[in-house]
Amino acid sequence: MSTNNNNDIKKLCTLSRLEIDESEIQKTSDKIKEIISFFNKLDEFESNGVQEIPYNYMKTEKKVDELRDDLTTLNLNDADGGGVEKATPFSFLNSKNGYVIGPRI
Amino acid sequence: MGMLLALGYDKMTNLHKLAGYQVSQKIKNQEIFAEEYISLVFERISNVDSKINSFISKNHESALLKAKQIDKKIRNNEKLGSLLGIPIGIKDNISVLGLKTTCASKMLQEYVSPYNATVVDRLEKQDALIIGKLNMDEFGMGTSSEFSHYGAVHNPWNQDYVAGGSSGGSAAAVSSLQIPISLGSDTGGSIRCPSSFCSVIGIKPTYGLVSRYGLVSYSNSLEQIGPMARTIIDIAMTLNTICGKDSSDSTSTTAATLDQQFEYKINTVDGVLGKNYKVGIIDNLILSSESQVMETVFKKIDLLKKHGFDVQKTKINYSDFALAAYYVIATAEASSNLSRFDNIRYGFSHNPQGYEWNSYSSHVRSNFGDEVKRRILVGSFVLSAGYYGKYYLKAQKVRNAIKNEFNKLFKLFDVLILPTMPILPFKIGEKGAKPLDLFNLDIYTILANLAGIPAMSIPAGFSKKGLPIGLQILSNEFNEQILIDIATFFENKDKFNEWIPNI
Repeated sequence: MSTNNNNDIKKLCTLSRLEIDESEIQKTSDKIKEIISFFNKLDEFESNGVQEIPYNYMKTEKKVDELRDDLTTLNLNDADGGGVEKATPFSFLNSKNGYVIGPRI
Repeated sequence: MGMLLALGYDKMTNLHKLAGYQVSQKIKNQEIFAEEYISLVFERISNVDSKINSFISKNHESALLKAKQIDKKIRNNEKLGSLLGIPIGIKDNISVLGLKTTCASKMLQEYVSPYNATVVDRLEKQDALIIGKLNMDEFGMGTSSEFSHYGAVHNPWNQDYVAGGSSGGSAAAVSSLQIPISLGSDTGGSIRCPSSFCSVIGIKPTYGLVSRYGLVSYSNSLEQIGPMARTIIDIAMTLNTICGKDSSDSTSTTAATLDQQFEYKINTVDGVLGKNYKVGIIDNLILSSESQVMETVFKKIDLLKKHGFDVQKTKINYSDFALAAYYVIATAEASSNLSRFDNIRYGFSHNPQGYEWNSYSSHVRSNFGDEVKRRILVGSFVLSAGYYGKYYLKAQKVRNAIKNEFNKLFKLFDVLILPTMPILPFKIGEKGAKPLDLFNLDIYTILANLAGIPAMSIPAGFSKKGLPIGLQILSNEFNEQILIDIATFFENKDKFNEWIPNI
């Protein structure tokens, strides 16, 4: 975000999988620059001796034997046949013959 | 419906003013049927919410059915839950089986939850009635509840003003006497800010006290679900119901203290005074708030002194770095958490056939609102190669420094006091042209999220124009009881549970 070049924002859009209208690019870019320059305040923080390790209670590691068994709970083949709906109101937005339809890769 | 005549019309029409625990008692004592009460609540909602816009979706049919079941349970002398017949509203980023969970986003306007959040399961187990889903800033990203696909929430005290955010619907529905209790979520003040702006009580519990299973993640290392209500008894009862270990949320299980059962109590004022709590006044932050906020907070401090609390001035270092650190962490986690919205697993109907993967994704994700898009872009930036050390790592260090500050302060004090918000509620549309104008409002609330400690906002008073002001109280992790005690003291002295808007 060093220059006024709008290519930066377009690169970020690609990384973020977002589309921004051409007419909105400049405005969005300005606002994002405002936020990033506010973040630059962190440069003044003297971090000598301060650890970046998160606190113990935010660690999420579990022992393997504490985890549940790996059971299949959702049968995609039933997505069109009412099998999934019977258990939950969940259904994929687009499915056909038991397959989920996605865009081309 | 014979009871209606027996009770008299006046008593029935005033039921919506009662707290949840009071109504629950009446239902239990068979002074009123759960069915009658819930019907009155529906009526109140349909009369009031057109002015407030706090509900996104309603669950009236199912709540009515549940109320009838409760009446039957009472007749049959079955075991009754602690939240018997109390209607509770749920912020629209918390999953309720079979109801839409939109997160106030166009992106999720058609998404129906296939399961209950743990907190919802626990409420229903105690015979609460889930009455609907509440309006908010899209995905919880905002401080005013203006960034909603379903329109802004209006402040019940003055409908030209914002309700605060992001849990604005949760606060406004309780404040306007539509429902007695709601659930919100708090990532950087999203329960406390609207509680302050709407004059209700709201608590962000210690990180890990309440399960986040079923909460749509925005910034998962910061956020917690918490209750909002008009009385401290309702807050304690709800917190008792939703807190504790949950095998579906690994962050709720790691703290050793969670193995114990939590049971928050309402102590008498004498009981609270007898505990000789040491109160720290965060002077540097109080002095930087708007004059009417500052004066109100000082009045509360005088009240504490008058009743013999040991009150001393103190300050918190690094708070000037905290806001930047908070927004680095929150946007980084948001960009990662919101990447799951590819519209294939959840979203709205838009056939992906004929699209290439990246273009489909970008195209459907353009349905995020502007604020959400900005935060995703900023998050992608701070996490991008070469900038990680400059922003994210630095922010984690600030976070740890803040945590160390609180550790030091809680060796000296049991409870810390500061304003919830630096300013008074503002008019809808007044702020928001510059992102930082809104970010700056979170300066007092984000501290508790960074440190993972519990924080509560309670009603403190009003500005000259009649706009609410909130007092924020902080305690060390898993010391929610101290917050409840201090709130009990103020509720008893100020009677803020009787402060209700004219709507």
